[in-house]
Amino acid sequence: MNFKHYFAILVTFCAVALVLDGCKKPTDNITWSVNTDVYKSPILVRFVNANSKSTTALPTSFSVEISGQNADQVIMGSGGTDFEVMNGFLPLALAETATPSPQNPVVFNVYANIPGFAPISQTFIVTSDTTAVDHTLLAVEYANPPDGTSVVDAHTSLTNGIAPATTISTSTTATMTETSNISIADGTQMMDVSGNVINAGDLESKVVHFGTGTESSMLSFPGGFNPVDVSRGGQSFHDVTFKTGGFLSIKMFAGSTEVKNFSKPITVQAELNNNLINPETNQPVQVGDTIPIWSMNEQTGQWKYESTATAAIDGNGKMVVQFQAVHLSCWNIDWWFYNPCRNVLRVTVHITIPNFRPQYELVLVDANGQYLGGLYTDNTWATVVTLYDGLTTVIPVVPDIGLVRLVVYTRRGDPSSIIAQTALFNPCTQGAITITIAPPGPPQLINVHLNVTGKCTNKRVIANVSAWVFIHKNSDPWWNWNIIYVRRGQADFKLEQGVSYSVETYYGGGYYVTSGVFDKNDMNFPTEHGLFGNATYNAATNTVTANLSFNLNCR
Amino acid sequence: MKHMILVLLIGSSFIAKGQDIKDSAIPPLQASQNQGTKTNIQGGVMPGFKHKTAFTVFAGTQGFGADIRYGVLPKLSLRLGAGVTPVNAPNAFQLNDFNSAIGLKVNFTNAHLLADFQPFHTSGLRLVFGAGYFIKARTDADITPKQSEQYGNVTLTPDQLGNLKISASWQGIAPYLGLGLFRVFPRRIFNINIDLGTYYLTAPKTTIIATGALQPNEQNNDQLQQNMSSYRWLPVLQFNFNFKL
Repeated sequence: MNFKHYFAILVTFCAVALVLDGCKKPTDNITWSVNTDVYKSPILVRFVNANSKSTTALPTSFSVEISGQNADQVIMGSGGTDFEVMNGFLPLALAETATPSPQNPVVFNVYANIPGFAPISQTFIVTSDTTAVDHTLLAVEYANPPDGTSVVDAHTSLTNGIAPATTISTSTTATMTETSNISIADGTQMMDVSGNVINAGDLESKVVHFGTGTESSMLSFPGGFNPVDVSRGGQSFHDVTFKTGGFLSIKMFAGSTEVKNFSKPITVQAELNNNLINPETNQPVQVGDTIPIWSMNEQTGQWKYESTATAAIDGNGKMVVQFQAVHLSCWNIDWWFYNPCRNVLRVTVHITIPNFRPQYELVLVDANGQYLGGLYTDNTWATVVTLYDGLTTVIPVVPDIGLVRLVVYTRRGDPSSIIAQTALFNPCTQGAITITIAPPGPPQLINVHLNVTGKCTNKRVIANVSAWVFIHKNSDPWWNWNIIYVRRGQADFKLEQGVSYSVETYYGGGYYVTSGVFDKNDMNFPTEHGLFGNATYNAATNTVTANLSFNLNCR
Repeated sequence: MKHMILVLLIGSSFIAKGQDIKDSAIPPLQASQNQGTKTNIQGGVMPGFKHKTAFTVFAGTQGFGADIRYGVLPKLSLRLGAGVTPVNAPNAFQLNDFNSAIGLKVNFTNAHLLADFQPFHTSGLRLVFGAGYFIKARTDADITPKQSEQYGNVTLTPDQLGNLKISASWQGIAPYLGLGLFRVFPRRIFNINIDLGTYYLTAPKTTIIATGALQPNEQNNDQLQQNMSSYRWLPVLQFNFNFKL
């Protein structure tokens, strides 16, 4: 054997060993995962048409303004500060540096001026850096206002920006029994936000009068009934509760310039609902009763006390209040309660069918059924919540109204769908109350374990996103959604078995959609708008594991 | 990742010089007899056979170490020894998916008992077989992202990303089979010979420990374990420096 033989043997050994070892790379079929939940306090703001009967959808996308003392800490839920609402959903979050707590809450305001809708504003208080909350804002469409409201969109003439004596009136409707009149005195000059005179020949006035007779009108109350910050006499007040007698959203345009001020005050007269109860007397409003008048800075959500009006009888024989306004915004006829009840109200839900989790609406109403507020969960007013047997929640701020009751509606804002109610009680002294719901037979449910990932298109990396997922039963009304927060790419919930749902999410500026029937079999989701994946069924646990992904730009 | 394993397999190598291949042939039996060694066959020892011993230091793909060699029979000798492979190889490989600083450590320590069987008198070719006990046999890769990564609009800093510690361990008994080239014992004071062979290691046990945003990658361990299940051959190309005792 010579050196050539030795060399041949050596090469053979090395080759064999390397081939055996090299047949599979250690990283084959491995995709690296990254959790992207760096932001805090996920908040979903959902904009919907206040009139659930309207077929007018909100614009597919529109921008909102974020303002307020901690606005600089607010970002989009998937990063960035391009505050764009997509299909009515606005996922927000707080920056990594934010440290919200009950002692140091993060406060900011969301303002939207949606074409064709009245301006909408809501102040948010964030006290937790982990809790995910969702909040629905109802936008009032001028062309199709919700029940309990009336709208006027009137054009009148100006002379060089100066109005003659003009009255703009809202009318009664089938669901709105109150009228209102806005009177402009002869010679009133229209002025912009800076107080500059507007030289125009046309005045467009858009007025929405919100009555107190329907819940849909009450749900549209700008900013809610528990404003964060109220100013009166130069002082700021917190923990305020409003009991409203109605409110008006007034917008005027001289030519194309928005009118914000007048050289002379305008006079506003608004009728009151016959069933309106004065919370200070717990009796229907009487002539001579006084009601404070407030205005709101829509951009900041700040309410300001303006004057006090006195109830009187108008020419129609209806109870009415009258006040003067020198600027335009939302004008509110409200009794107010500054930190009225130190006691909280603990609400326990009892559902007679175990494991049934219906999406019903639990609200607080006064003795005449006037909406006062929705179930208070996670420090956010939510009007439609998933209820379950044993659910206990605390309403930390309750109105100082002598007699209220809890009611449950199966359909949002529809008193005819009432399914449960309590007896009247005093919310300040009650402490705790249980409401029992006896629903009809529940549907067959199936467990869903949802995985949602963003797939990097240029790397073998998937992002376990933290994002809101919107699930809609295709046979449900457009406004009824299951809102799920997927944390680090995972969430567990239940859906109706064998029912078709659309599944949507909004992440990183992209809106992704797919649909499917969650049933006892495996399936592939169709890629409709960028959301793709599959589902496998485990009979032992009656669970569908749905794996959904969308493509993500990674760098 | 593949490179990580290659580094492990190849390790450090050393090149010996100065060995005359022609000296490798085993001397004829008669020559031993002429030297007046023991001749009592009935006593279990071949006539003229002398139990040779040598001290060996070696270096090769499995690291470096030392053996004691003992000639049991003219064609059979045993060696008992130990070897270590301490290799630190920073940035020996790169992950395309993360711009990372990668620290790679290979640490193999074994004790072994091998037999050299020399079937041909006229050739230095040997069949080598035996086993080693790998007291330590692990490779550790520490992967730390060096720069921020962006996923959509979310930017994660290196601190937020955390790091990955990927390890594989082959600890246990491993059989060895190979060939030896050149004579086992030096004719005079010193010689060099070569081993070509392979250990068949236990199936590796892998672990992934991840921190920060990379934490969910611990669930990739099952796939890693499966991928590496065939990584059991530890090829040996080893140079032995033998000193006659």
